[in-house]
Amino acid sequence: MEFGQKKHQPPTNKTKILKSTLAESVDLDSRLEVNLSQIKERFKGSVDVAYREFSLGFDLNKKAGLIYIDGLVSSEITNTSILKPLMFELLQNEELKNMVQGNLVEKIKNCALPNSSVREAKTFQEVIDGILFGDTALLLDDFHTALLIGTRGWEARGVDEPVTEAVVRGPREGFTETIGVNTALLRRKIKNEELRIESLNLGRQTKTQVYIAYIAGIVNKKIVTEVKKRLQRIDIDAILESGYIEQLIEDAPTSIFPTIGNTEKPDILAAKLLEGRVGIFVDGTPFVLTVPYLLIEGFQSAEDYYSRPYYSTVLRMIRYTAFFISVLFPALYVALQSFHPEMIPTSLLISMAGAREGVPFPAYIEAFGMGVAFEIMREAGVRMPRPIGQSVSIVGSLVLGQAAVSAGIVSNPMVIVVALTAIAGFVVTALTDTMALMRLFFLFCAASLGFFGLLMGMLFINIHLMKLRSFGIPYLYPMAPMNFEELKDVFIRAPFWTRIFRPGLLSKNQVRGSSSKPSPSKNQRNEES
Amino acid sequence: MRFFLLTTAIVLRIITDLLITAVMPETPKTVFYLVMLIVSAYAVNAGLEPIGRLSELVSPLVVLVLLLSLALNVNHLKLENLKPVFQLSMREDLQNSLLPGGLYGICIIMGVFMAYHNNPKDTLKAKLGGVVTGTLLIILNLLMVIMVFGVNLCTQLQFPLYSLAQMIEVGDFFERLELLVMIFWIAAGFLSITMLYYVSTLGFAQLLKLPDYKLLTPFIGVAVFILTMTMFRNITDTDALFEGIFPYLALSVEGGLTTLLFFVSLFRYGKKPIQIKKRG
Repeated sequence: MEFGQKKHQPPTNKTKILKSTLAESVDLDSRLEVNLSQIKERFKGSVDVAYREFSLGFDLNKKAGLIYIDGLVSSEITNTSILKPLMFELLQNEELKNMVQGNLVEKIKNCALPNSSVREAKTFQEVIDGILFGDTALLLDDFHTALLIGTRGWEARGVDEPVTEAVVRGPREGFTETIGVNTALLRRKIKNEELRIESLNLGRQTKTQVYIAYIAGIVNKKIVTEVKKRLQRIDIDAILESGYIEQLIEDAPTSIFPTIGNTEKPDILAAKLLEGRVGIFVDGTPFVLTVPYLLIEGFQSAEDYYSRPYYSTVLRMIRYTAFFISVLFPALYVALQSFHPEMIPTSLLISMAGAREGVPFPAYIEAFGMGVAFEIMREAGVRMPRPIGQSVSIVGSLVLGQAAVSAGIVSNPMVIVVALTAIAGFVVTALTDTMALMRLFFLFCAASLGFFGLLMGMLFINIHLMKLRSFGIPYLYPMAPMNFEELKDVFIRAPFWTRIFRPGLLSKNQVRGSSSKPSPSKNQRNEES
Repeated sequence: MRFFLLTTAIVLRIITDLLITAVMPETPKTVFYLVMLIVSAYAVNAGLEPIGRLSELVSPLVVLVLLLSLALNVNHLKLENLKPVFQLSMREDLQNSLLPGGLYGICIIMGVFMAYHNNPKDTLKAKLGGVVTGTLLIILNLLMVIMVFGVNLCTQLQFPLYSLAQMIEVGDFFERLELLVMIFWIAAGFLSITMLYYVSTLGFAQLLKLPDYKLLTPFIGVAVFILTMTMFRNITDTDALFEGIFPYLALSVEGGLTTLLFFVSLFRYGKKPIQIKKRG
């Protein structure tokens, strides 16, 4: 009823709606029938809500009722930890017969229910919320109090290797859709009581559980309070994925750059929390948000830290190169081709001009068209079922590309440029969407004013990036407010024994550890010599 | 502050003239003015920090590219081009140094930024460092240019440094790098435009006692645009300004007015406030 009302009457005044929700929290009645019929009335029309009326074991006249939602609760738990003790084991307990009425609930709660989570509820709203979250409500005749018994046990996907963040070396487990499993995975990584996980529910209809996780000794308190403030400001009917929250609390909703990160892997989340970041779990999605999010995080990968620093450093460099290629290459090509051909070395210019001979379009239209074609292919490949997706990419790349070139619609160099751009675009996975937009932007700049336009575009993006902040931290940190200690983890990946401090702006600048440069211990050396 | 406005327009004009003469002679000037001004207005509204960070990023690159373009020309050097030395009298020397002096005097805008420093006492150090680096670079430039082209050719070239960049040739493959040099040059020019723009906007906002200078940005932009469009008929006019009135105007504002302001504030507030806002 409550939900139905909201749907049909669009909220005109926020406070009014909130008040009406509060007003519905009526206290439970003492008669079981009244309570049951009230709740049945609330759940009218739902077939998946199950009601079970029975008598307590010691007294056949003592009625009780169970309410739960089929599928959300595990019937095994309900049977063994609620029904069995209440119906059979109470038979032997003669004491209870003579108990004063008021203490019975307390007694049952303390002595008769072998379940780890039992809560008391006084109002209908509490009971209904409990039922909706997967608890079982136990109502007793003659009492104003109901018991909510933790019986959550629905079918869920198991811990699996995440598709988005594949690794060669490193843990393969990924978060699941169940928030409890996710926090457990995090706890397994960080065994420290200072890891705090705070809860709140968001979404009027979905009442989605949202957890804020941080490590109390490391995190910058201001960031935590800011996160909480922003979360509490959210007023929306549904939170179906962490993306909803991301878009509702981000710093720069008008920017193309993401100011909130996400990860699907507990080890990455743990690393981020240990650097002083805050994680936001959302029930129903394996993607956990991390704030503050800085630009360089897109270029860091968990594997950089798991493998030895030399190749990791090379990989970092390659990622930055790929980023610039992906963002600037088509624009550079167009600028050179249409505005400044004198900059191309003569021999290259001749072969390029030869390849472009007969192509009817100017370079920028070619580049734009090919870019759009690539995006179409990518989108088709992602959404299609896997076997078809492959054939799409074969048709797209071989047939279309080859045919377009031999038909003289597109020049060969342009195909090379677009292909390289596309592949480079997938290297920095976290920023792929942003890069596609930036590519278009720069293409436009270069097509309109050549190198000058490109320069102005770059300056513009730069100023924008310098202006951006994510939860108070400058987006380009540690590059733009320069921090040499932290630069050890930006363009290079310095070995662990050189990195003594945590990021200063994110956390209290604490010592991570004080491992010295590894070397064989002295005794061993003596033995060898 | 009107002086800064003027200088903004002048710098914009110089940069664009350079761009048009050298790279894109067919595009109308208006396009360049507009694009530059729009981007720099965005920077101005972004505030002082982004501008500072941007210069932190761009200036090392500019200096690097400048030094590189000089270094790659080492093979063209002819030391005898430097002769004769000390040909002119002291008075003539001073008179000729008025123009670079006037241009360098723009560094008094640092006085405006001083109020926003974390530790204003370090400003002098920063400023001296900047001016010394800049002067050294200019001297190095002049030496290189004279050594490569000789005095006679130098005076006739419109943008000697640009011509210098044109001569770069590395391993028969990298030729015509002048555009790259140019790009960084424009970036540097953009920075100075942005800074001047910011200061003039801030100045006018303070003059009008506006709570937020950002309201004023578009108006100042339009003013700069109009000034730039109408101030000179062509590049000869720019040269005439530089040889004629600009050094005197600039130096009087930079040297005279600021000193005057310093004494006025000294007179009004006494010696107590050490962080006086406008000090040359």
